[in-house]
Amino acid sequence: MVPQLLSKGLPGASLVPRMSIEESRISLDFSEVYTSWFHEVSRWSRALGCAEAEMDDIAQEVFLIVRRKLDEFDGANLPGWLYRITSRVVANHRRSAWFRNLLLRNRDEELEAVVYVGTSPADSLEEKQRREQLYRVLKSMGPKQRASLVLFEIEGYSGEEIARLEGVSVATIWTRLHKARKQFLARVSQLGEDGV
Amino acid sequence: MERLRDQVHEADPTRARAADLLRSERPLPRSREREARVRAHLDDTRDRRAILMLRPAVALCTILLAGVASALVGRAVYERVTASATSAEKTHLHSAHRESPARILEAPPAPSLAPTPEQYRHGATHRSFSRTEWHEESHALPSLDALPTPSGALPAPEAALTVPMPPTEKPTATAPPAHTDELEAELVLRAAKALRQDHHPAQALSALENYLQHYPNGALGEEAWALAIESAVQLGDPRASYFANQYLVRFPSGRYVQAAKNAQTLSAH
Repeated sequence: MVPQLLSKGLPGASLVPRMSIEESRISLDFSEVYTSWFHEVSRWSRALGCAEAEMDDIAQEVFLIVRRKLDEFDGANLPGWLYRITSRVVANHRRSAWFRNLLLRNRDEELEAVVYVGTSPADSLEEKQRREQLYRVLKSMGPKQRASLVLFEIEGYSGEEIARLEGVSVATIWTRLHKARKQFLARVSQLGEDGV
Repeated sequence: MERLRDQVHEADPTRARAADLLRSERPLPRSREREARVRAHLDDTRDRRAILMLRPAVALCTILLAGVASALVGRAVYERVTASATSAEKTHLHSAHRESPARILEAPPAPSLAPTPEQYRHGATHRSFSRTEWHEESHALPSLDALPTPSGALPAPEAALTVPMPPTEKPTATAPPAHTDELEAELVLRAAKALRQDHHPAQALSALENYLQHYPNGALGEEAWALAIESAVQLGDPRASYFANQYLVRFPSGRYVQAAKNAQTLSAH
C-alpha cells in the first residue's frame, strides 16, 4: 500500500500519515481518522495562518465537524476534504479573532504566540527575532500564497501533495509557489537591518 | 523547484536572508499530548450535536421573545408619545384659541346696544331660567364700565353647564378629542366676537348657551361663563345673576370672580 501523501527526503516526511486514499475510502472510522490525521490538521492550520496557541481549538473544531459529517463523506480524497474543513474553520476563527481584537484589544496574537527555543538566552533572542520577522512577512502575504509557501518551505510538502490537498492542478501550485516566493523575497528585501 | 530554505550558500543577500528566516521555523513536531488533550475535549463535547440540533428552536424562541418584548416596549413608547403629543396639541390649541378671544375681550365694549329685558324675554329661548332669581324692576341696563372686563389671556379651565346644573358638579379630567376642542373654541370665539366686535350680546348669549349645553365640561367653560355674565348684563337679562352665581360656585377663585360679584350686585339692585 503506497501512501499518497508520503514526501521523500523532506523534514516532515516521517510525520505524514500512512494512510492511502484507497484505504481512506474503506475505513472511515472516526478514531482512526483522528489518530491518522490530527497532526496533519495541526500543520495545515499553522500554514493557513493559525497561531500556535489556537491550534488546539482549531483542531477540536475541525474534528467536531469531521465527526458530524463523516457519514456523509463519499470517501474520495480524505486529505483534501479535511484540508477544506480546516481552511474554513481557520478562516472563521480568524474572522472572529479579528472582531475580538477589534472590540477587546489590539494585539498581535500571532506574533506574541511565537515560541522561543534556544540553547542560550542569546540564541533564544536571536531566534525569537528571526521567527518574529518570518511571521511578520508571512502575515503580510495573501492567504493562498502564504499557505502554499509554508506547506512547501516549512512543512516540507511536495507540490503534488499541496495540489491534492487544495484540489487544484500541480501547475497551479507551482505558479502559486513562484508568486509566493517572489512576494516573500520582496517583503524580506523591505525589512530593515533591525527586521522591522 | 528547490526549496529556498535548502539554499544554504546563497550569494544573493536577500535570498540568503529569506532562507535564513525560513530555516528559523521548523516543521510542527508531533505532539501526542496535544492529540490526547484535544481528543478528551472532543469526547466531552459529544453531546454538542444534540445542542446544535436544538439551535434552530432556540433561535426561533429567542426571535419570538425579542419580538414580543419589542412589541411591548414599542406599544408603551407609542402610548407615551401619543399621550404627550395629545397633551402638547391640546396646550397649543388652547394657547392658540386664547389669543383671539383675549384680544376680543380686551376690546372696548359697546355701551348702549343691549336690548331691554322685555325685548330679550320675548326672544329668549332658554329653557330653565328661574325668573324669581332676578328683580326686573332693578334692571336698569348696567354699564359695562361697571363690570370689570376679564383681563389678560383667557385661562384654560374646565366647567360644566346644563341649565340648570348642580353647582357641585366638577369638571372631569378626561381630555376631549382635538376636533371637539376646535368646535368648543369656535363657539366661544364666535360668542366673543359677537359680543365685542359685532356688539350683539343676544347672539353671543345664544352661542354661549349652545356651548354650555353641548360642552358642560368644556375646556373654555370659565370663559364661557364670564362671557355669558357679560352678555346677560348687557342685555339686561335676569339670568345674569344666575350666571354669576353659577360662576362663583364653579370657579370660586376664578379670574372673573369680581365681574361675577359685580353682576350679582347689579342684579340685586
